[in-house]
Amino acid sequence: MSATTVPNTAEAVPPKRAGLLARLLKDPAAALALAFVVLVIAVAVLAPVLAPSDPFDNDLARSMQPPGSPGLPLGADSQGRDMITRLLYGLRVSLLMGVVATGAGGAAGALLGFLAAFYQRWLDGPIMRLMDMMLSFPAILVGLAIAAIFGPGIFSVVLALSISTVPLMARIVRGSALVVMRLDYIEAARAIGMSDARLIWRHLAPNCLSAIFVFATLRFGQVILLGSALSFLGLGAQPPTAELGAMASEGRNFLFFAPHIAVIPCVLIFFVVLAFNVLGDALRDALDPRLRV
Amino acid sequence: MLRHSLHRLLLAIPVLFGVLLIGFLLMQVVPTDAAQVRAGPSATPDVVEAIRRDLGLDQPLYVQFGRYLWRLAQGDLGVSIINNVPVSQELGATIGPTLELMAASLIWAIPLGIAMGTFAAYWRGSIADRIIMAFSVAGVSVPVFFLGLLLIWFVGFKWQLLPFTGRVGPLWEWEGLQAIILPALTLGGVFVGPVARMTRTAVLDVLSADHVRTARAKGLTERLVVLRHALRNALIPVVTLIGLQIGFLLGGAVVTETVFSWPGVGRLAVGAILSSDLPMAQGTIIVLSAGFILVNLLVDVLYAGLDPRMRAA
Repeated sequence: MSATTVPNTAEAVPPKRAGLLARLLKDPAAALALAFVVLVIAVAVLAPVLAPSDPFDNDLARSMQPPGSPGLPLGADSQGRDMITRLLYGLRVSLLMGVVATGAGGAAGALLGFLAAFYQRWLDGPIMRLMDMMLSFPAILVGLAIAAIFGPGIFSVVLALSISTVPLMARIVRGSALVVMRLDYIEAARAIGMSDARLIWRHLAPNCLSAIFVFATLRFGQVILLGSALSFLGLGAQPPTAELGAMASEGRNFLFFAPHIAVIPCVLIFFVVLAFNVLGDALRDALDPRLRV
Repeated sequence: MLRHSLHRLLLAIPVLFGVLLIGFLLMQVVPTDAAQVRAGPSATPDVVEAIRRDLGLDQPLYVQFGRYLWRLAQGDLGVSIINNVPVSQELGATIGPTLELMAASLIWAIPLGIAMGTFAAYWRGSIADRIIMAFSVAGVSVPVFFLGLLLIWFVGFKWQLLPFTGRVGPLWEWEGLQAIILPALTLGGVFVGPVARMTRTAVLDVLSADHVRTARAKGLTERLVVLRHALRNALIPVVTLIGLQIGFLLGGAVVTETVFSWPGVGRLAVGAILSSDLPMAQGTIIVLSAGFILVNLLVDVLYAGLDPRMRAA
């Protein structure tokens, strides 16, 4: 009896995995979010090709032209730069900041999480206490402190966002890895004399990937939001760099004459973050319902 | 209870020490020479040396750190480079407005979020539930400054209903009260969503608990079942989660203060960093961090007081 059921369940898993995309697409909101995320990434990557003009190409004669003006579908900013071009390049910078911060902070956090779970006896306590301490600082405070040390700029924002991602990822990965560590095949791999590094890399990490992936997606949205807030405060991207939060901050000075300069970048940030949040929620429900909060 | 509180307090001490150390190092890694700045550009090397000795900058770092802690303990946070005003004086003037703004935001956002979350949980799966959850996801995705700019543009500028020019007076005066409405709507607006979401999860958990089934079986009205038996138990985790979201609120407050020119600590900190006023930046960051740690500690201890099960954990 058990001989027949075991292969059955083993076979039942791969088709379920292959159907992840299908399951995601079943939820209209998630499908829409996924489509938007793909579109946004494509547009950001192709910005230099798609942009109608140069992002620094200013022409004071068209300063603050409203959307719909001839040759300027979304208008021009205070310096007379084409809004579409600025938005494309701004999106590029904002997304890149998000990718680097989520990637670097996430990788460091994941490594610490694995180490804490794997060497539970002597590393778990110290690592997780350190993570608790790091969690005591809200991201915005980390951003303020880093900007005070290194001066305002994209580097400071990315560093701050990376640092504030580390403890969050470490917690998620540790929790996920502790569950996997109790499984028999880890014991088996150890019994055949596999080295620790190989065991973590080949057996532990792949089984925590879904948790990492879900968290990274959700975190990416938050990182974009925090990054744009820091840039809005003037602590991130500096003019004339096109970055969505910085564009909103510049536009704020002209809110009453030309609201589109501030509003359009804000709307774009909102939809990008919303798409990543909806997608992250859907991925979590599809991949790892245990993570549901 | 006492043991739990002591344990938490012991954990908070190294964190607080870390904050002070970071604050101290902030002044060390910055490539400006404080003695040179104090002396001015035309000072002779002898004068700069004398000032360096005077400020204790020629001492080893640990001695400087010790002196710095000693000065902090006396409430001396240094003097602003920009306007020569003591940092503690500026902080004293800005903490009030920041607390005011936070309180004015929470006072409407938490009850609304709890009501929405309870409603969504009770009518789980309904259209109303879906709308509330969609609103909540949108709420955590909207940039705080966007909400602020929209309110300024529509309510303040176009419809001219409310002022948006920052704090004009104390809250007990009509003008002062009016001035805080838009900032409080902005900051509270991003808080409603998370609170609704957390409440919904907590109420859903409790609604399926045995004691709720018993309450129903006794023939209590639905109103009593939800309000007295479900919500009351769900509130414990919600209160804690709200406490843990204070960092989120703090971040929102920094942005809201900047958007509305609200004279709070966050705006002071940003201004200090942008003008390279290091003593001021250091002081504001230390005070904000220490305040945040203190609130977390309080929430932790309160939680243990509310829920005896937590004390063992």
